[in-house]
Amino acid sequence: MHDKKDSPDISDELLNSFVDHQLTSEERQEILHRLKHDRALSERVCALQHLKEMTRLAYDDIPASRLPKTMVGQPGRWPRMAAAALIFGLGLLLGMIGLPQWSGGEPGSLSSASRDSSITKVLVHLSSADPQAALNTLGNLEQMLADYRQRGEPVWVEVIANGGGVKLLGPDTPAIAGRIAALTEEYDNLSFAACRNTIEQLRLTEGRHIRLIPQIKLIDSGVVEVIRRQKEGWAYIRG
Amino acid sequence: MFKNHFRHKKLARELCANRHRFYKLAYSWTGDPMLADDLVQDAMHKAFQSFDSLKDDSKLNAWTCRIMMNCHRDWLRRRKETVDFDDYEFAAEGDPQAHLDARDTSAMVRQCIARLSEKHRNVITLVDLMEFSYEEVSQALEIPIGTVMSRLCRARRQLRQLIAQASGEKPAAGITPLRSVN
Repeated sequence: MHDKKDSPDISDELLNSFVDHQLTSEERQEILHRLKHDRALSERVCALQHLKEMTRLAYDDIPASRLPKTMVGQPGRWPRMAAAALIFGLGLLLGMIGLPQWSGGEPGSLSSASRDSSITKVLVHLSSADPQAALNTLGNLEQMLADYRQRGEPVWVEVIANGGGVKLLGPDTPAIAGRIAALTEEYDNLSFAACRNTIEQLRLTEGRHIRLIPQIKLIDSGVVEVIRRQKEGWAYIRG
Repeated sequence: MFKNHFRHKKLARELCANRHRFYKLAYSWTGDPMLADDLVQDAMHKAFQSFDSLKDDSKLNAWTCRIMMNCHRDWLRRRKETVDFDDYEFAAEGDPQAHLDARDTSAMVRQCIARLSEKHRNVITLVDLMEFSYEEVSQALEIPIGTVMSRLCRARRQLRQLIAQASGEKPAAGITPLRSVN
């Protein structure tokens, strides 16, 4: 790589350290001084700098990451103890002053959405263990939610996973978990649920312990929930 | 407990701030944006869960790189059970000359980096993409600094030769013929 006649005592290792700024200031000064008088040495340094620059630039135009801002598993915003104490205190206070009972479910909740006929209700059924198919479904879902939001039309979406679908809702499939975390953070009219029966079945038949990310709620039976929603007039999409 | 929580938060913030660099690194190893995302997410998730085992906070990035490297190795091992690794790596990366024909220098350089051995690719990408000092590379790869220097030197020599071949240039005099050196 280098002409040994012109710069015999400066190794490639040393020149690499020079272009990577890993030398002490004295060593650096020494090489800078040599560079003024040694053309072959200058060419070697230029070649190394050029290579380094090419490597760096080669990754400037790669496809952008699609990871959400909040990563799955990231430590929460408040210490859990403090948050728990706050909720407990608030509950105590509300209990002491008394509050009127809500009879029709909390505003904006799934149960109220179920009864409200002006809201479009969509059920997405995830039953396949194919991660690519699930990612495609989540991508379509995101597009649909963005579309409804843009048009100002209310929509409620519930994703129900059973069968192989429950295997994709844990930290073992981080790309999917990340998308779910990002979507639920962005859209409060979207919820995810996993079938407890399937999880139990997987534990017994395959000895597999399914872990779910915190955004997934558990329901007793995915199939029963799918049938119930369909009877309530929810649009059914198979993911 | 609170002190620990705030330490974890600070570390997580620092990692997230460097996420684009981890993504570039993961992309340079996998050559696929979705796999790179998976790898970063997996590594960061594991890092978040294991902050207690990090003894020195100043070594956070090197420590996380080591986690990501292990995740990548696990992934390759799992993949090898179904796909021949050599077929995967080289068939997927394609012929560097073909990329040059498409006048895509960046892609061609990426293909050449992908053709380096894992050890050489790791050391080059940690120095040039993660902008690690040699000491940090030494921590991430768990090898002495002297080995980092010699490995980097061989890696760059090999990369330069691959780029020259892909560009149709004749290797300059004095360059050792390409061989697999780990």
